[in-house]
Amino acid sequence: MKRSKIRAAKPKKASAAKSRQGRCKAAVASRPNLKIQLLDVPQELRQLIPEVSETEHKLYFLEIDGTSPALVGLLDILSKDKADLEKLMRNVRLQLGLRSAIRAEAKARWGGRESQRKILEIKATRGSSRLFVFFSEPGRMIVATNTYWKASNNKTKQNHAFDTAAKLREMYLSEHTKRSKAK
Amino acid sequence: MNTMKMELMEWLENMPSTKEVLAELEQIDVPDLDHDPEFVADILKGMATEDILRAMEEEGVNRSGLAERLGKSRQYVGRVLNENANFSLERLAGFACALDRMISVRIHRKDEMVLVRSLADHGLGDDLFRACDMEPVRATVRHVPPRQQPDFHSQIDYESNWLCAEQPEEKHDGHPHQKFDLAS
Repeated sequence: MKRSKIRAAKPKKASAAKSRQGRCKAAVASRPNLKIQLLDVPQELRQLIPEVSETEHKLYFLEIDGTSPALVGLLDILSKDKADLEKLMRNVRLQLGLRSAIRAEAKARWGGRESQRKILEIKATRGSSRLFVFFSEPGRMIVATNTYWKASNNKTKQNHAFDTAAKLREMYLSEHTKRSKAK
Repeated sequence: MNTMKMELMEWLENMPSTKEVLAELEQIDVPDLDHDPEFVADILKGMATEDILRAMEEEGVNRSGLAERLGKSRQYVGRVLNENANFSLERLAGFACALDRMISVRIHRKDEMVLVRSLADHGLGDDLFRACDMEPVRATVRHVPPRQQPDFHSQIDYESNWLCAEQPEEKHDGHPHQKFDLAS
């Protein structure tokens, strides 16, 4: 009985993977030339992140083809748990006021894997929300890539969020180099 | 194109656009954190602990070493660094002194900001006075009663390399002149 169940599950998984690949390819085909840019903190969020206040760094949101994953994530956290967002914002603003990365592990940590080393995960102290950022032009700009809601100790999902941030950073940097070469 | 990038594209495909997010943000009541004293105090605590951690790193002092300098227990230092202790000015000053650092607590307007900058970054380091084309020799400060201070004029006399603070003659009758030697 068990075996048959497993056998039946296998082809399903393969087809799901295939259809997913198809969806991915379609998504790529629909966006041949990605428009990658940085967004200033929108006016609607100025109460959370003021323009100048104890600021060493300036925060930007990475936007790809009119979509900013970090902004979407912040909106999600804001509607889900305001108190948690406040905890996160406290550490974001703390980071903006510092010249180097936050040292306290309870507030932020660098990615563990080689590919994630340049990604800083800013935590909500004793909270669930996370914001992934990287430093561009150290001492000047912090770019927010995406967010993560840590509901459990699932390291796989969290690592995936780190990988996403690393990939977004890579995309931003390649675009940055392309533009500076064109200049 | 690798799998990760393709997955990323699919992920982005399912997300609302920035315009939609901004439209939704307008409907939501965003908390005004700068008017929340608890939040402001929390940021100050965070800044203080980060500064202490940085100073510890620069001085090569660990928690036990710092506890020894403060004449307190290691647990005390841990409580402060984990932000589980009350932060009084006396306590902060104790940490600053133990780590041979300066401390600054300022209250200012929103269109002003306080930054901690290395003097060397501005090329001012040891040449602070020379950068202003003056030598750190002497300063003359005339004593002025507090009530008259709004009329107080201060100016730097570059030619004589003297830092002067002057007040109209008629207002400082009877007050002795004090001299401070900056070079000593």
